[in-house]
Amino acid sequence: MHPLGEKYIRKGTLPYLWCPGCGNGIVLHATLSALDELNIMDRIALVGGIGCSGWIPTYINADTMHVLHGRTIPFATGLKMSDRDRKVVVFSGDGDCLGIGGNHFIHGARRNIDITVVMIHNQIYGMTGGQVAPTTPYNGKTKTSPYGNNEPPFDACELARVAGASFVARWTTAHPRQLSKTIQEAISHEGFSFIEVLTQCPTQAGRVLYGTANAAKLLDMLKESTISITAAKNKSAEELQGKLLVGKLYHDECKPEFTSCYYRRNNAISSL
Amino acid sequence: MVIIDNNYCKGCFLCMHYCPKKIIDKSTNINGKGYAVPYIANPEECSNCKTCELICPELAITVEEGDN
Ligand SMILES: Cc1ncc(C[n+]2csc(CCOP(=O)(O)OP(=O)(O)O)c2C)c(N)n1
Ligand code: SF4
Ligand code: SF4
Ligand code: SF4
Ligand SMILES: [Mg+2]
Repeated sequence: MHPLGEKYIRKGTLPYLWCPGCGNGIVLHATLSALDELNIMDRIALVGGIGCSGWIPTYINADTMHVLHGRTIPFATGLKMSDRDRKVVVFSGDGDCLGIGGNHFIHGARRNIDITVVMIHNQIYGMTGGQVAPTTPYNGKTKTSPYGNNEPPFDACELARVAGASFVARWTTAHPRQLSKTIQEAISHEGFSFIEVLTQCPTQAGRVLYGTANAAKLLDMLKESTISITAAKNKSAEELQGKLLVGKLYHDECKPEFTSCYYRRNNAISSL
Repeated sequence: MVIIDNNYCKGCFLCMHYCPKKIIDKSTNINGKGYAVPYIANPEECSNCKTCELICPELAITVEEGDN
């Protein structure tokens, strides 16, 4: 096994429950590299929701919580408020984060609380068998939209930004190096940081939306559907048609952070 | 040097697909979990770029400095 696995993985929990070729393992590896580079394993807390992606933290030998479906951000908020020195990182599926947990997501972003949310975007409810998600493409055929999806998907990065998040980025699992660097940067940032990771789900999204369970093909499709924000600068509107921007999309280092504001105000009140 | 840990491999062949030198191939070996595993067909051509290591979802690949 890779040295990062030897160092940080709870060996007794292996193998991962993920299907062959699933992108969740790539996100896990990128996270381990980021945590190792930052050297903060002793002051990190990792929170996972319910869904295939919610299992990411459970394999890491650190302080981890595996919580109710959609409730990662409330648990992370409580944890951060009671233990300010912690860096808290949430792993949430697109269903977990934007469906059942959508309200928590916008309010976490609005407060600009210092937590990092890594949203694993596989366009579907993977764990429960391939139902339509708030990220499923319009017209997409899933188990619960067999004639095509009537609903347009959320742009989670736009949503995070307008709701108040101070760090917003997007990558795919075809960009593992960049993803790892961005996770590092997001954890170091003080405020609500949001990273959307587009991932391949060969078993559910692959088969029902794209008619293939071939992980490499699906990952190629993901890669081809994106363009980096730096490369996009020199492209015409036509060239950018249908392309999703990846990279660091938004960063504001001056926005007040919720936990510090709360403690500052509390201290001011108690000294009255 | 590229080391593939067959115990953890799930035979997805993302490593093979993304190797820029195209030196990873399917072997006839089946691991204990029933997955066909890859092997490095032309180790001397490896550039130690680590793409296979980073794309493997199972942490099954390690690329070390030095020749194969
Ligand atoms: C309160 C509640 N409602 C519904 C479920 C059933 N459920 C489990 S996982 C899941 C959705 C998983 O999709 P997503 O969050 O996108 O994660 P993925 O499996 O795709 O990574 C649902 C609806 C549940 N466990 N708890
Ligand atoms: S169902 Fe999809 S997301 Fe879940 S483990 Fe399998 S490939 Fe991964
Ligand atoms: S290190 Fe690079 S060149 Fe060598 S096998 Fe892996 S992907 Fe191929
Ligand atoms: S990427 Fe990893 S799991 Fe997939 S075939 Fe290669 S070594 Fe095996
Ligand atoms: Mg999902």
